[in-house]
Amino acid sequence: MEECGLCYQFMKEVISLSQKIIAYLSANMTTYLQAVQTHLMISIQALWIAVMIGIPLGIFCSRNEKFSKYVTGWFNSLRIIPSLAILVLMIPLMGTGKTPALVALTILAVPPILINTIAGFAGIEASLYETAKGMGMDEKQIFLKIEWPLALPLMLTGVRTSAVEVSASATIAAYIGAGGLGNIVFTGLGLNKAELLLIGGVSVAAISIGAELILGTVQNAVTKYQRD
Amino acid sequence: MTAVAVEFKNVCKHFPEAEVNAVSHVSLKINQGEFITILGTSGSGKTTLMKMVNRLHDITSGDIFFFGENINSLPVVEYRRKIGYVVQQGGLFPHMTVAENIAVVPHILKWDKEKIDARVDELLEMVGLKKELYKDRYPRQLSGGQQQRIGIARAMASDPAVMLMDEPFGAIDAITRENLQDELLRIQKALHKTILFVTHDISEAFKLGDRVIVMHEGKVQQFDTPDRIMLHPANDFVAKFVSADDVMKKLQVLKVHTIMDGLSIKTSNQLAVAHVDDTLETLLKLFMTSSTQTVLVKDDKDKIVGEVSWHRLSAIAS
Repeated sequence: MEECGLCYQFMKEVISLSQKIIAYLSANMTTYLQAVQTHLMISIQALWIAVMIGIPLGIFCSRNEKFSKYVTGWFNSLRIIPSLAILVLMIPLMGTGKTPALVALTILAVPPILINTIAGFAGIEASLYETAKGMGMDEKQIFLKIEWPLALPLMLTGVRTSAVEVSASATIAAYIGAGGLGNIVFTGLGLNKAELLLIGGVSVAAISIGAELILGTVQNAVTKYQRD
Repeated sequence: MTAVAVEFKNVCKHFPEAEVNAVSHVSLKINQGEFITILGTSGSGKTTLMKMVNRLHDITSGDIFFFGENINSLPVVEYRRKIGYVVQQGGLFPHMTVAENIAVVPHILKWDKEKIDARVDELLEMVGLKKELYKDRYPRQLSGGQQQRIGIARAMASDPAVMLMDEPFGAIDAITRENLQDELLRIQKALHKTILFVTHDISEAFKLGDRVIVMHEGKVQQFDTPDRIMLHPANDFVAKFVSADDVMKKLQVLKVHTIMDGLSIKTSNQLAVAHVDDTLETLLKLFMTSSTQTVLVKDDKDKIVGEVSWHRLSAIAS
């Protein structure tokens, strides 16, 4: 009998939570959608800037071993710092708001892209490079037709890792005033409202999974030659 | 008169930080249409010698001429497109299909699409691969032997007069290698390409080469036909390297035409017949299975052109 009572209690909780979620969403749909939009925008911006920095820098590093050691060392040490710490460290440097959050997220997103780009280009067999040269390709053709497509799968792995990391970390960026789904989560924590925690948390998870799926599909398309 | 395709004039190659020259004072002429094998152990300078021809290595001193033109006076990228290049395992680009791999050079030469397609089909047929089956496959879906066939087709795409082949069959099993060697010989006989073929395999060098360059310590030890190298090695190194005093080796390497005599007998029926390009080993088997004193020799057109007596063959051993 007692077990059944617990069951009943649990079911009641679930139903009441669902009702609260529906109630919140119907009352605050605009706020919610705006939070999703802000979250997506800041994540995509950070990722885009990180790609623009990480890939050219990675290509440069793959051709310049000394410089590569210096840069990867530097970015790897940045990686050790937890994302929350980077975000908080931005406050004395840049204050609060969207810009410092964007900078912090970009710093988080660069290392995976950079390191994978270096690995992608450095991993191309020297013999392939020599064959291309021996066949009469110029430097530009070797880069566009051989090196870029061969390094692309690893570069995409880097972008994938960064995308997941950024979309998750964007939640805590709300701490320094970036807005987004983090706002809903932190409000839920402050007011002890489980429905807000659920709405925020599940949405962030959905964005991360979505990013993973989209980039995974792209990666599958460019690595067709590696499978049967 | 045949043209000189490639000429080395006192060519040296010295790598920085190396004590001795990788290639030292090489002078030789390779005629158009010749199949030249470059034979040597690793570190003998054979690959370096070849890579200087398409300028993957710069010449330290001396000159190389390509159909009479000094290669250093030619624009390097355009010059390389005139030379077919085949490396070990084919060196195929893994992200390109078979058709795309073969089309690399035609593509950079900006041929139109129909011409490229037709050429790809033609080349696949030449190397004995069905176009419907293989055109759209990726290199990793092919066996080593098939990859190498594509590698050869790719090098021939723009119909270069000269082909460089860097141990192309080195990593391929013995049976497939034999087939590939036979195919390459067939293609070379049909198209009269000038081929420089690097190998460390003595049998391969002697089977394929019209002439063989024997390299050791960066120097050309001997540059001659397989028969002459086997029968008259230039020095102790060559003699030892090709095991010139080993009867079995001689039988494997020497061809029937080297010991063939003119026809002296009239009746040709009931006698065994060998081909001019068969090895003496094959000839020996014929003698043993047919138990005759004389074997007739035919040429490519099945015409009887000579004979070999048992006495003549056994003289090889002495």
